[in-house]
Amino acid sequence: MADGSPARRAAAADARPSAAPALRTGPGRVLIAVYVIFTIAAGSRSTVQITDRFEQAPLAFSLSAAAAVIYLVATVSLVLAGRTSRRVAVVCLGTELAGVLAVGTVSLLWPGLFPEPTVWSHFGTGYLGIPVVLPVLGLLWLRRTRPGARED
Amino acid sequence: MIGWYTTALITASLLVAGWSGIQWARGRAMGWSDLGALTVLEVALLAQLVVSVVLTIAGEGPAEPATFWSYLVTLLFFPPAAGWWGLMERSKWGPAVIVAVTLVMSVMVVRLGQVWEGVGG
Repeated sequence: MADGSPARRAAAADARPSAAPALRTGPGRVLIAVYVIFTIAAGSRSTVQITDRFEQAPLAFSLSAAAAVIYLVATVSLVLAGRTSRRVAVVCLGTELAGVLAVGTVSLLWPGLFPEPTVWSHFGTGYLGIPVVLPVLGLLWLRRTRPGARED
Repeated sequence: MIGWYTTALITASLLVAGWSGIQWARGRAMGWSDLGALTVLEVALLAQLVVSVVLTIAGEGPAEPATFWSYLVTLLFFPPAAGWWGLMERSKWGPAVIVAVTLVMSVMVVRLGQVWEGVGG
Protein backbone atom coordinates (compact mmCIF):
# COMPACT_ATOMS: atom_id res chain seq x y z
CA MET A 1 0.00 0.00 0.00
CA ALA A 2 3.04 2.22 0.38
CA ASP A 3 3.08 3.18 -3.31
CA GLY A 4 -0.56 4.18 -3.19
CA SER A 5 -1.47 2.04 -6.18
CA PRO A 6 -4.47 0.29 -4.54
CA ALA A 7 -6.00 3.70 -3.90
CA ARG A 8 -5.40 4.74 -7.52
CA ARG A 9 -6.93 1.51 -8.77
CA ALA A 10 -9.90 2.13 -6.48
CA ALA A 11 -10.35 5.58 -7.95
CA ALA A 12 -10.17 4.16 -11.46
CA ALA A 13 -12.70 1.45 -10.56
CA ASP A 14 -15.07 4.08 -9.17
CA ALA A 15 -14.84 6.14 -12.35
CA ARG A 16 -16.06 3.20 -14.44
CA PRO A 17 -19.81 2.63 -14.41
CA SER A 18 -20.46 -0.64 -12.64
CA ALA A 19 -23.49 -2.90 -12.46
CA ALA A 20 -22.73 -3.84 -8.86
CA PRO A 21 -23.57 -1.21 -6.24
CA ALA A 22 -20.40 0.46 -5.00
CA LEU A 23 -19.03 -0.68 -1.66
CA ARG A 24 -19.26 2.66 0.11
CA THR A 25 -22.66 3.88 -1.05
CA GLY A 26 -26.16 2.93 0.08
CA PRO A 27 -26.10 0.56 3.08
CA GLY A 28 -22.29 0.59 2.79
CA ARG A 29 -22.34 4.19 4.01
CA VAL A 30 -24.08 3.15 7.23
CA LEU A 31 -21.65 0.22 7.58
CA ILE A 32 -18.66 2.55 7.28
CA ALA A 33 -20.17 5.03 9.77
CA VAL A 34 -20.54 2.23 12.35
CA TYR A 35 -17.00 0.98 11.61
CA VAL A 36 -15.61 4.48 12.19
CA ILE A 37 -17.42 4.66 15.54
CA PHE A 38 -16.10 1.24 16.57
CA THR A 39 -12.55 2.22 15.57
CA ILE A 40 -12.82 5.25 17.85
CA ALA A 41 -14.47 3.27 20.66
CA ALA A 42 -12.09 0.29 20.59
CA GLY A 43 -9.05 2.51 20.01
CA SER A 44 -9.69 4.91 22.85
CA ARG A 45 -10.75 2.16 25.22
CA SER A 46 -7.63 0.08 24.65
CA THR A 47 -5.40 3.17 24.83
CA VAL A 48 -6.82 3.98 28.27
CA GLN A 49 -6.58 0.33 29.40
CA ILE A 50 -2.96 -0.10 28.26
CA THR A 51 -1.57 3.23 29.46
CA ASP A 52 -3.53 3.14 32.72
CA ARG A 53 -3.30 -0.44 34.03
CA PHE A 54 -1.81 -2.89 31.51
CA GLU A 55 -0.41 -5.20 34.21
CA GLN A 56 -3.87 -5.91 35.64
CA ALA A 57 -5.11 -7.83 32.58
CA PRO A 58 -2.37 -8.14 29.94
CA LEU A 59 -4.19 -10.72 27.80
CA ALA A 60 -7.52 -8.88 27.72
CA PHE A 61 -5.88 -5.53 27.04
CA SER A 62 -3.62 -6.92 24.28
CA LEU A 63 -6.71 -8.36 22.59
CA SER A 64 -8.45 -4.99 23.02
CA ALA A 65 -5.57 -3.36 21.14
CA ALA A 66 -5.63 -6.06 18.44
CA ALA A 67 -9.38 -5.49 18.00
CA ALA A 68 -8.81 -1.75 17.68
CA VAL A 69 -6.18 -2.28 14.96
CA ILE A 70 -8.46 -4.66 13.05
CA TYR A 71 -11.34 -2.15 13.19
CA LEU A 72 -9.02 0.56 11.89
CA VAL A 73 -7.71 -1.51 8.96
CA ALA A 74 -11.24 -2.73 8.15
CA THR A 75 -12.55 0.85 8.11
CA VAL A 76 -9.76 2.13 5.86
CA SER A 77 -10.10 -0.78 3.43
CA LEU A 78 -13.89 -0.37 3.24
CA VAL A 79 -13.45 3.32 2.45
CA LEU A 80 -10.80 2.70 -0.23
CA ALA A 81 -13.03 0.01 -1.79
CA GLY A 82 -10.43 -0.96 -4.39
CA ARG A 83 -9.65 -4.48 -5.56
CA THR A 84 -6.81 -5.05 -3.10
CA SER A 85 -8.46 -3.26 -0.20
CA ARG A 86 -11.58 -5.34 -0.79
CA ARG A 87 -9.47 -8.46 -0.17
CA VAL A 88 -7.95 -6.84 2.91
CA ALA A 89 -11.47 -6.03 4.13
CA VAL A 90 -12.61 -9.65 3.71
CA VAL A 91 -9.58 -10.89 5.71
CA CYS A 92 -10.16 -8.23 8.42
CA LEU A 93 -13.86 -8.93 8.78
CA GLY A 94 -13.20 -12.69 8.83
CA THR A 95 -10.59 -12.19 11.58
CA GLU A 96 -13.00 -9.92 13.40
CA LEU A 97 -15.77 -12.53 13.33
CA ALA A 98 -13.37 -15.30 14.42
CA GLY A 99 -12.02 -13.01 17.16
CA VAL A 100 -15.39 -12.06 18.59
CA LEU A 101 -16.52 -15.72 18.57
CA ALA A 102 -13.26 -16.95 20.16
CA VAL A 103 -12.99 -14.20 22.78
CA GLY A 104 -16.73 -14.45 23.45
CA THR A 105 -16.49 -18.20 24.10
CA VAL A 106 -13.29 -17.99 26.18
CA SER A 107 -14.67 -15.11 28.27
CA LEU A 108 -17.72 -17.23 29.16
CA LEU A 109 -15.83 -20.49 29.84
CA TRP A 110 -12.78 -19.01 31.62
CA PRO A 111 -13.86 -15.60 32.96
CA GLY A 112 -10.63 -15.44 34.98
CA LEU A 113 -8.65 -14.79 31.80
CA PHE A 114 -10.66 -11.61 31.24
CA PRO A 115 -10.86 -9.80 34.58
CA GLU A 116 -11.76 -6.64 32.67
CA PRO A 117 -14.20 -6.44 29.78
CA THR A 118 -13.03 -5.93 26.19
CA VAL A 119 -15.03 -5.02 23.10
CA TRP A 120 -15.30 -8.72 22.21
CA SER A 121 -16.02 -10.21 25.68
CA HIS A 122 -19.35 -12.07 25.90
CA PHE A 123 -19.76 -11.71 22.11
CA GLY A 124 -19.87 -7.94 22.42
CA THR A 125 -23.06 -7.78 24.49
CA GLY A 126 -21.52 -4.80 26.31
CA TYR A 127 -21.82 -3.02 22.96
CA LEU A 128 -25.42 -4.14 22.27
CA GLY A 129 -24.16 -7.22 20.43
CA ILE A 130 -23.04 -5.05 17.51
CA PRO A 131 -19.48 -6.54 17.46
CA VAL A 132 -20.83 -9.97 16.47
CA VAL A 133 -23.40 -8.68 13.95
CA LEU A 134 -21.14 -6.10 12.27
CA PRO A 135 -18.64 -8.47 10.54
CA VAL A 136 -21.50 -10.68 9.30
CA LEU A 137 -23.31 -7.70 7.75
CA GLY A 138 -20.00 -6.42 6.38
CA LEU A 139 -19.10 -9.73 4.72
CA LEU A 140 -22.60 -9.98 3.22
CA TRP A 141 -22.25 -6.45 1.85
CA LEU A 142 -18.78 -7.19 0.43
CA ARG A 143 -20.24 -10.25 -1.31
CA ARG A 144 -23.21 -8.31 -2.66
CA THR A 145 -21.01 -5.53 -4.07
CA ARG A 146 -18.20 -7.71 -5.45
CA PRO A 147 -17.20 -6.84 -9.00
CA GLY A 148 -19.29 -8.82 -11.45
CA ALA A 149 -22.07 -9.47 -8.94
CA ARG A 150 -25.53 -9.31 -10.41
CA GLU A 151 -27.74 -6.58 -9.06
CA ASP A 152 -30.94 -7.81 -7.44
CA MET B 1 -25.65 17.07 39.22
CA ILE B 2 -26.46 16.88 35.52
CA GLY B 3 -28.93 13.98 35.66
CA TRP B 4 -32.01 15.70 34.21
CA TYR B 5 -30.01 17.26 31.42
CA THR B 6 -28.46 13.99 30.24
CA THR B 7 -31.99 12.52 30.24
CA ALA B 8 -33.05 15.38 27.97
CA LEU B 9 -30.04 14.75 25.71
CA ILE B 10 -30.83 11.03 25.47
CA THR B 11 -34.45 11.87 24.57
CA ALA B 12 -33.28 14.38 21.96
CA SER B 13 -30.91 11.84 20.33
CA LEU B 14 -33.67 9.24 20.20
CA LEU B 15 -36.11 11.79 18.71
CA VAL B 16 -33.62 12.64 15.96
CA ALA B 17 -33.10 8.91 15.35
CA GLY B 18 -36.87 8.47 15.14
CA TRP B 19 -37.33 11.40 12.77
CA SER B 20 -34.56 10.31 10.40
CA GLY B 21 -35.86 6.74 10.71
CA ILE B 22 -39.21 7.96 9.33
CA GLN B 23 -37.40 9.68 6.41
CA TRP B 24 -35.48 6.45 5.78
CA ALA B 25 -38.70 4.37 5.82
CA ARG B 26 -40.31 6.83 3.38
CA GLY B 27 -37.32 6.44 1.06
CA ARG B 28 -36.33 10.12 1.34
CA ALA B 29 -32.78 11.37 0.91
CA MET B 30 -31.39 13.64 3.60
CA GLY B 31 -33.11 17.04 3.74
CA TRP B 32 -33.23 20.23 5.77
CA SER B 33 -35.26 18.59 8.53
CA ASP B 34 -32.53 16.04 9.23
CA LEU B 35 -29.87 18.77 9.20
CA GLY B 36 -32.01 20.97 11.47
CA ALA B 37 -32.49 18.10 13.94
CA LEU B 38 -28.72 17.47 14.00
CA THR B 39 -28.09 21.18 14.58
CA VAL B 40 -30.46 21.21 17.59
CA LEU B 41 -28.63 18.17 18.94
CA GLU B 42 -25.24 19.87 18.49
CA VAL B 43 -26.45 23.01 20.29
CA ALA B 44 -27.79 20.84 23.14
CA LEU B 45 -24.37 19.15 23.40
CA LEU B 46 -22.61 22.53 23.44
CA ALA B 47 -24.93 23.58 26.28
CA GLN B 48 -23.93 20.39 28.10
CA LEU B 49 -20.29 21.36 27.58
CA VAL B 50 -20.86 24.86 29.01
CA VAL B 51 -22.80 23.51 32.03
CA SER B 52 -20.10 20.89 32.70
CA VAL B 53 -17.28 23.44 32.49
CA VAL B 54 -19.12 25.84 34.84
CA LEU B 55 -19.84 23.05 37.36
CA THR B 56 -16.22 21.89 37.21
CA ILE B 57 -14.95 25.41 37.88
CA ALA B 58 -17.41 25.59 40.78
CA GLY B 59 -15.78 22.47 42.20
CA GLU B 60 -18.48 19.93 41.33
CA GLY B 61 -16.72 18.27 38.42
CA PRO B 62 -17.12 14.74 37.02
CA ALA B 63 -16.15 11.70 39.09
CA GLU B 64 -13.99 10.36 36.22
CA PRO B 65 -12.72 13.51 34.51
CA ALA B 66 -10.57 11.92 31.75
CA THR B 67 -13.36 9.63 30.52
CA PHE B 68 -16.05 12.29 30.89
CA TRP B 69 -14.25 14.96 28.87
CA SER B 70 -13.11 12.57 26.14
CA TYR B 71 -16.69 11.25 25.76
CA LEU B 72 -18.14 14.76 25.63
CA VAL B 73 -15.61 16.08 23.11
CA THR B 74 -16.05 12.96 20.93
CA LEU B 75 -19.83 13.41 21.07
CA LEU B 76 -19.50 17.00 19.80
CA PHE B 77 -18.00 15.69 16.55
CA PHE B 78 -20.80 13.20 15.89
CA PRO B 79 -23.66 15.43 14.58
CA PRO B 80 -21.50 17.33 12.03
CA ALA B 81 -19.79 14.13 10.92
CA ALA B 82 -23.12 12.32 10.52
CA GLY B 83 -24.55 15.30 8.59
CA TRP B 84 -21.57 15.41 6.22
CA TRP B 85 -21.44 11.65 5.62
CA GLY B 86 -25.24 11.46 5.22
CA LEU B 87 -25.36 14.39 2.78
CA MET B 88 -22.86 12.66 0.49
CA GLU B 89 -25.38 9.87 0.07
CA ARG B 90 -28.27 11.06 -2.10
CA SER B 91 -30.56 8.17 -1.18
CA LYS B 92 -32.58 6.93 1.79
CA TRP B 93 -29.34 5.59 3.26
CA GLY B 94 -28.36 9.18 4.16
CA PRO B 95 -30.99 9.37 6.92
CA ALA B 96 -30.05 5.78 7.87
CA VAL B 97 -26.54 7.05 8.72
CA ILE B 98 -28.13 9.60 11.07
CA VAL B 99 -30.26 6.89 12.71
CA ALA B 100 -27.18 4.74 13.39
CA VAL B 101 -25.06 7.63 14.70
CA THR B 102 -27.77 9.16 16.94
CA LEU B 103 -28.60 5.74 18.44
CA VAL B 104 -24.91 5.32 19.34
CA MET B 105 -24.97 8.88 20.73
CA SER B 106 -27.88 8.07 23.06
CA VAL B 107 -25.88 5.15 24.51
CA MET B 108 -22.79 7.36 24.86
CA VAL B 109 -24.80 10.02 26.72
CA VAL B 110 -25.95 7.31 29.18
CA ARG B 111 -22.27 6.52 29.81
CA LEU B 112 -21.55 10.25 30.04
CA GLY B 113 -24.04 10.55 32.91
CA GLN B 114 -22.54 7.48 34.59
CA VAL B 115 -18.93 8.71 34.49
CA TRP B 116 -20.09 12.10 35.81
CA GLU B 117 -21.71 10.43 38.81
CA GLY B 118 -18.99 7.78 39.08
CA VAL B 119 -21.34 4.79 38.86
CA GLY B 120 -21.36 1.83 36.48
CA GLY B 121 -18.56 0.19 34.54
